[in-house]
Amino acid sequence: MVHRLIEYIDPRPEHRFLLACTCLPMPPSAIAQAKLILQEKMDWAYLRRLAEEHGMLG
Amino acid sequence: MQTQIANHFSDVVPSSVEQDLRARFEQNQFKSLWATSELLRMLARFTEHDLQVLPYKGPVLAESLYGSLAIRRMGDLDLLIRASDYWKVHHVLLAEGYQPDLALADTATTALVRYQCERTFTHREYGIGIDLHWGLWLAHDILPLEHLGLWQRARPTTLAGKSIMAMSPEDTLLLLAIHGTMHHWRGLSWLMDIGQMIRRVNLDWEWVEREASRWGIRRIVWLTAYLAGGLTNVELPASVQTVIEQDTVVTRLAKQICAELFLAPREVPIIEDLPFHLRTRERWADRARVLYSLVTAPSGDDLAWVAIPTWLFPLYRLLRPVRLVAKYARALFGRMFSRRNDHPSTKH
Repeated sequence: MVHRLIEYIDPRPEHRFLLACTCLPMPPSAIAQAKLILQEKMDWAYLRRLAEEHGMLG
Repeated sequence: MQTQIANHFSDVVPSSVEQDLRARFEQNQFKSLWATSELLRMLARFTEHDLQVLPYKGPVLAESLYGSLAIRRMGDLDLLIRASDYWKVHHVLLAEGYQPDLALADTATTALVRYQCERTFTHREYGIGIDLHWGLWLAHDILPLEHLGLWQRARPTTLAGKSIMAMSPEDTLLLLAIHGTMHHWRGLSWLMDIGQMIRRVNLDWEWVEREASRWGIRRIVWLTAYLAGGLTNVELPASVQTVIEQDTVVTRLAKQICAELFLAPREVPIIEDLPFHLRTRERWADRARVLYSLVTAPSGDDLAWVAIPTWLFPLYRLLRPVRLVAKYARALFGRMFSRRNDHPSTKH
């Protein structure tokens, strides 16, 4: 089910990182996955704007 | 996100980004503490007046789902009231320094309570906002809170060490499902709340399904669960997954929401939005009511447009279509007129 829906999201690294952060506390698998995403080229300003728009700054 | 970055990724994230996020986190933390103390103060005032007011979202949800007031974004305080208590609550709010954002005469306010489901008040000095809800938007239809049994199922909980009454987790799930779906789930934090609730609370899914059927929101609830399961990494109970997979409309709606999740926010015209909302309802009678309400239920603007005495209130249902036709005709003529003026042959 998880993979089926992720396929429909625009796969920019900022989007995938934000989605990885929706799990709290983050399980080790999500942490490892997020670390891999952070190795890609990130647009930090875009990520910050997205986090604000989606109420995810906390 | 700041919490996760501070806990796991501070060695990878640039320090300027981390500092900025921390500053925003601290601002939200301060706002949350302030809002929580105001919520507790106002709940005490309502109790003094024998009013049963239930907090919704906000600090109660933050503390119950995350164990922290700072992690969830704090906006206005949302309070649920019975429509029959509206005027008493209104007077308590005025006495405590709040004023309604939309000024209306008393008769128009009575119409607002009958035809709408919420009103925002803001504190004159503190600037803090309170959204009063006596019903919930189901697209253009309204679900009246008074008849849902929320107050009978409310239970004591603690907020910042104080005991207060709050909705049951199952009722909270139903209300959050409606709220998120009405906004196309354009807030990932709302889905995070649902995922967190499924993860942390032992929900009575049989009751959820039964009650969702009674409210006519089964599809809305399954869509919510499907999105939370698919995007926030939470495992749904097998029985819930089976029910979801039987409704192909749920999976199609979920795909549409995912495709639009990170698009830039924009005002969606009613006509564009309507098919989505009609598809979220499983009963034809509910879809018909959405259409009827869209055309006839007076909005705040309609009520402010003309004030009529209480005994003529049913006329508001006729006035709204008239106002809408006048509004769109004016816009159409305005556009045609400006095009004629822009045309080279009409100049000079």
